[in-house]
Amino acid sequence: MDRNPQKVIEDQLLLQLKDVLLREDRVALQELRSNLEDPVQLEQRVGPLIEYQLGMLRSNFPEAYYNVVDKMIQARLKVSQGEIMDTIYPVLGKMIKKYVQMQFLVLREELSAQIYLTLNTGLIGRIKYAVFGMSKRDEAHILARAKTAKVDEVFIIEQHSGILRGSASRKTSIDSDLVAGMLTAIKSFVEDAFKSGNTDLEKITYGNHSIHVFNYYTCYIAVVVSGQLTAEEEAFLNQRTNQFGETSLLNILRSKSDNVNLLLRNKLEKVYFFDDQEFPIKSRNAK
Amino acid sequence: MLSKKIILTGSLGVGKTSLFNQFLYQRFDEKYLTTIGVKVDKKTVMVNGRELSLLVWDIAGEIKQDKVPRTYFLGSSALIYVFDLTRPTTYSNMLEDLKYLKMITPGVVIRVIGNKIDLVDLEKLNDILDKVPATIDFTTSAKTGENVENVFFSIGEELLDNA
Repeated sequence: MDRNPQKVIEDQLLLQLKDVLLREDRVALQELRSNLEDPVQLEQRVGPLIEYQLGMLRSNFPEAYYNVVDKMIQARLKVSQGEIMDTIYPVLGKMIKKYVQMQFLVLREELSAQIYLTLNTGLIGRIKYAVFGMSKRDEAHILARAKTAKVDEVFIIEQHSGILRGSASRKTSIDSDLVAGMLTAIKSFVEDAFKSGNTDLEKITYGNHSIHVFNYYTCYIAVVVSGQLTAEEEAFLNQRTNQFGETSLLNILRSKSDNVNLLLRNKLEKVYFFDDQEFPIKSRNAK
Repeated sequence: MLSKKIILTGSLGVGKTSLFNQFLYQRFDEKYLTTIGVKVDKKTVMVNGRELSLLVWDIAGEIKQDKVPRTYFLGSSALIYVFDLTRPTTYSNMLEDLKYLKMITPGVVIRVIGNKIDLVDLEKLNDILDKVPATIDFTTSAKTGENVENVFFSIGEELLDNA
């Protein structure tokens, strides 16, 4: 079939026009295609963008996905409770075993030290122990001394205002003024909340520590003890503190000295810390 | 060194803890956390060349001061009665409160403080001051720190004068 010559010319012109108009686009398209198909070139172009997005994800991950991850973990934990316990149990067991071993070691060392102290009584003593062995009394004494309570800190605090007048401590603790202030606040609160005549707060216990409070007219003494006091030890602490509170304390507070703090510290150290290791009552019996 | 106990008291949410934190640590937190019981801290200040240790008690706010455990006030040398300039309910009991405080702490230095000055303009402030039933010693802003040091400094001066 013959084509219309006019139409053929128009088609050729259109093709030429297309060539002219799309030449640049075709070159660009070709370049783009080669970029996409060539892995090296593609990596060069896309790599930094991926790195950037990953960086953003890393820095925003906790904020954006916290709730989702949290829920997933919780769900997973619920489902796998049994498996987790199976995994943790041996580790826990090892930790407990290690702790118990450690405590036994400490106790053994303390007992050894006490046995040495008790048996180290010269030639006659050693002969006596060699011949007659150790009495029940000595055994009880050694065991009792093995784990003793001790006074760690003592504070002398003004009643009501909570201002610290003096203190002594075996260790560096937090600011003594703050301890005195907060202790007084607690004391004030308790005494106000449970109004019952003229009763005062006498003791605060926390874990293995206790604070024994001795009230006097203008101030009170707070004795911080670590370890458990026996009734006998507590009675001795009361007696010793009252003796100090009713005599030396008043004299020092009434003195015109500029170094009341220092005087009190020295006195407190003599009263409560004369033995570096143990509670006074034990040392007294041992002598 | 002389030590003195100072009490911060007043109604709920007036900014006692914020004043406490601003004075002691120069910081302000927009979050409101109500104080439970009492918080105690200390700061040593130099007043006219003399050192003074201030034991500051920040007491939980109460609408009326006779609800505050009385023992908290004992042994104090100064009281800072704080109210909120933007909330009339915080100074509506002021006269009764001050009368009560003077009765239980005779001879104690008292300062009346209108806090949150940063939230009111001058015109509004004059209006508020007309309505407050007692003399105000300072207007403060725990947020910007305005006048906070001055309150404690003026107390320190008076305490040292009386010492």
